[in-house]
Order: sequence, then structure tokens, then C-alpha cells
Amino acid sequence: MRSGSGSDTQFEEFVASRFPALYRYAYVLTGNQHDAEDLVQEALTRTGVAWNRIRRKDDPEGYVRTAMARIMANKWRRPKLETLVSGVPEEVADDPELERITEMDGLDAALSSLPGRMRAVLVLRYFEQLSEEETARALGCSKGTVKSQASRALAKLRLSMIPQDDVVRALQEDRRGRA
Amino acid sequence: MEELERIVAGRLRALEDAVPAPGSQSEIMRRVSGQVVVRRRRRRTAEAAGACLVVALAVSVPHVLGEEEQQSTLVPGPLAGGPSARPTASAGLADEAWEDLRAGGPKPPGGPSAAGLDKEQNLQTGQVLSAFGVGTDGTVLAEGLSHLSDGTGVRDGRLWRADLTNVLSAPVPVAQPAGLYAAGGGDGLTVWPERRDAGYQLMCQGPDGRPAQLGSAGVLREPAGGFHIDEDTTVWTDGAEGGGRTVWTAKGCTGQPRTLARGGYAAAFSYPYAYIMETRDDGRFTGDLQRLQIETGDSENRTVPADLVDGDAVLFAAGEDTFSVSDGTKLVIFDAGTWKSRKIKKPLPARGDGQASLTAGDDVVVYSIRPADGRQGDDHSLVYRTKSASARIQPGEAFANGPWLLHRVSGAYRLDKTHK
Repeated sequence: MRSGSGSDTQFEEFVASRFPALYRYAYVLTGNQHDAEDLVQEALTRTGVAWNRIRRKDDPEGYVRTAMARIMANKWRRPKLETLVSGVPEEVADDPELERITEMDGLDAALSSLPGRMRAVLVLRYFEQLSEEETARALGCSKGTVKSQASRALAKLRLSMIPQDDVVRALQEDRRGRA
Repeated sequence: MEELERIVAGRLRALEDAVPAPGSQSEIMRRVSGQVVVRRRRRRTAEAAGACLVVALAVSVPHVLGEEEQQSTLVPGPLAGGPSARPTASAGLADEAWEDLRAGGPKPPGGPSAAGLDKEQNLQTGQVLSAFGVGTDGTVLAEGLSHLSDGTGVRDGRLWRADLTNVLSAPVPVAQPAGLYAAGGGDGLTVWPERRDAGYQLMCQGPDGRPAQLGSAGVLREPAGGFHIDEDTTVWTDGAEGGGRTVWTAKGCTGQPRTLARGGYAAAFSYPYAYIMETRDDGRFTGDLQRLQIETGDSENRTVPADLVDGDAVLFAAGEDTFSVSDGTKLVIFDAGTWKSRKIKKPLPARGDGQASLTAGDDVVVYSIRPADGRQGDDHSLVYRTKSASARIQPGEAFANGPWLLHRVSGAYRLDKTHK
């Protein structure tokens, strides 16, 4: 961006003052530093290109946040080949608190591996506390899509919180039942 | 709200404490500033392209990469050429071809809708065009090709240009230079090398249609080109021997050339950054390079593994955020800002006796092989999407530049837009 233009200076000032907040939002959307940096960069680039139109509005930050959610939902499909966890899984023990931590690790891993659209829907619905209609409007999709994406995402997360032994046992019982 | 929903909200809120890495704000802002300049320029170019582009994009169906936002248009293809081809208005394609476009693209040869395109191909010489690549404005530059009965091709040495804004018209002849081996295009700009007594000279044709000479020190003849065009700017390495080489740049066809670097080799260029490789006396690369901002002169020193650039088959390409290197067996892509590298695991198409090319767009890197004897059907490409980190091998040669991906599908060229 060539310096000297008044609107460009406004854009730079806006970014300078709001970057940490925008980065935090990108981190919530992506769950890791590398993708968060890529996401905030892409959203700010789009905002910078369209700045002359946006600055007349009172909410450039809202524009950038919406851009991030939409980019996440539509384009951010980086395959998750591996998921970082906080530690090496320990052996199973009958400790309720440990069980709870294991559940949370499973949940975080499942959250990280959700497709971009599902994760964006969860962020808007449960982090931003938007209604289904508002979420659909923000992502530029139908209310039905929001409902189905949220439902499928929650189902995946629910499954991730069940200990794997129980999942295997349930599957075996299911097969036996069918036989 | 169910308990699970409350738990999810809590886990997401816990992420909100994230703090940007030290220095990341300035680094991201630097990249944003650069990209905003580039995209604003491209947007102006796209707007200038006018309604014709809108029509063409609206009637086509994206199909290669399967991305939702990908847009696609067709270049009559195989691009009609030969002495009988002439510049026309939008009547360059027969009515059947209009129907074909409306139907979503050309069918394989022999299909009912391909007839309209065949009319343009059935010139007296039977020539089709063989692309050199695609410009940042969607311009397709190509050479005429006649196929013999055994399937091999004979090149006519003539340079043809098919403009996206004239996508429904026939390609126009630009020049018939001696020794044509490459060509590139930018915003209203066509650049090609011409053989002279003492090597090759870079020539340029702008909107006025008159050919002009770019500089006077010649251009280094390289299989991959030795010169690069992005938007209205050309960067090239001159034809001086060994360490006496100079890297030049010029705006448009008539801009005064200026020196970017003495010594070295202009490996790749994505406006405003030129990637200049350091060379030894024998012309081999050391692995050190400069990433040079050509407007400000700011330079960053970078390094690539020496064994990656030591062979004869090394190719380079630069995109908006990437610098790519291939040694003919593997493809390594560097993030232009952080210089983090990733090696593409998928094996590259085997080169054999064919010609290889490496091109990069804003979010696509393409390694492509085509047979030297001009046969169709033996050409393959690896298309790598940088955003999704996914690679696929597809039949047909392909080229990327800016937002464009040009690729051959069943004998026809297709031009896709990889992002808005």
C-alpha cells in the first residue's frame, strides 16, 4: 500500500489499534498461531483493498471479523494431518478428575480437527452467542446449513469425549446386536 | 444451552487469551500492505477488462480444483491459429460455440458441442496453438502448432496472443521472431525474445501494437525464459557472459530500463519482489539469493539448499506469497515472508525428454511437463494449492499466474480463476 494517502493512514491506524483483538478472534476461529496469522492477514488484506467503501461505516472491526469467519467457513480447509496435544496420554486410571481432563483433551483435539465451516459455526453460535439467523447472515449461508453444521459438529465433539474403549465396546455390541 | 454447548463455549473462550507472537504484527502488516497494493492493481485491471469477462465467467463451470469460489472461463481451444486466423469481433466463434460456452465448457473432441470450436481449428494448415503461459491479466500467449500424421507437432515460430477480454474472438498474431522459445504477458503487454547475431534480444509490444526493444544488452536464453513479467513490469537477466550479467527492470515497453543488480540471475518475479539468485563463475547457483523490492530497493537475503539448485533442471517461480524451486524431482515451496519451506510429497510428473515449466499464481503452484515433440496426451501437471496444501496430478499442461490457472483439457485450453 502506498503511503501518504489519508484513507491508507486511517487503515493503518485502525489495524495498529485493533490488531491484538483481531488476532485473538482469529485464534479462536483457527485454534493455532500459524493459521491465526494467515487468517488475520488475509482478512486485513481484503479489508485494506476495500477500505474506501468500509470506512464510511462505523464498524470496520465488524467487517474484518465477518471476513475472518467467512474465510474460515469457505476457504480454510487446511487438512489437519496432526493435532497438537498438551501432553503424552497416560495410562488409564480410575480418577474422575483425570477422566475429566482426558475428556477435555479429546474435545480440544476434536475441535481442532473440525472442518472450517463447522468450527466457524460453533464460534459464532456459542462464542459470539449469535442466533441461528444471525450466524447464517454472517456466514452468507442458509439457516438450515447453520443448524446442520452445528448439529454435526456437536455430534463429533460428543463422540470425542467418550473414552475410546467405550466407543469400541459400543461398536462391538452394536455389531453383535445386528448379527 | 446444553451442557456440551456450554463446554464448547468455554473452550473457545479459553483461546481468547492468545497473544500475537513478538514481531508478528509488524510482519503481517508489512505483508498486508504489499498485498493490498498488488490486489488493488489487479482489481483495476479486472475492472478494465469489462463486461466481456463478466459474461465469460458467468457461463462457465469450474471443475478442475473443485473450490467453491473458483471461477472459470474458456479460451477457444485448442486456440485457433495459423495464417487464416484473423482478429475478429465477438463473432470469432460460431454460434455453436456460444451454445457450448453456455452449456458450461467444451466437450471432448468429437462431442456435439465441439463442432463450433472445430470450425475455427479446421484452418488450411490445421494449426492449433501451444501455450507458453498465461499473463497476470489472463492473456494467453502461444505458438502455432501443426500436427503431423504420426502425432508429432511442428511449431510455426509465430507468436499469438489471446486476450481474456477478447475471449470469444480469434487469437491475434503478434510477431514472428527468429528463435522464439518463450513469451510472457502482463497488463496489455506482450514480451518475447528474438534471436540476433550475438544472442537474444527482448522485444515488447504494448497497447499501441508497435514492437519495441527492451534494453540493449540482450536477454539470457534459458529454457524457462530468463525474463518475467508481472502487471506492467518486466524483470530480466541480460545476455552478458558469466559474472558480468546484470538484472534489469522496465515499466511497460517504453520505460527506461534500470539496473536491479549487477551479477546474479533473475530467477523469479512477483510484483514488487524480484528473486535474484547468486551465481558462481560457472553460472551455477550458490543457493543464496536476494528478495528485492524493486520499487524501494529494500533487499532481504535468503537461502535455499544448494543441492536443490545445483542441477541443470532447476526451475523457479514466484507467487504473491511464495517462492518455489524444483530440481526436476521434487518441489519445494517457501513462504515469501517467513521463508518457511515445505516439500511437496507427491512425486512430480516424470520429465523424460519433455520440457518442464514451473509457474506460480496467487494461491497455486504448477509444475508441468510437455513432450518436446509436440505430441498431445503425453503432458501432465502437478497442481498444488497453497491454501489447502493439497496437490494433484492432472493430464495436460498447465500454467499459473496471478489469479489464473490455464490448463489443457482434452485438447482444449481452459482458463480458471482460482480465487475472486
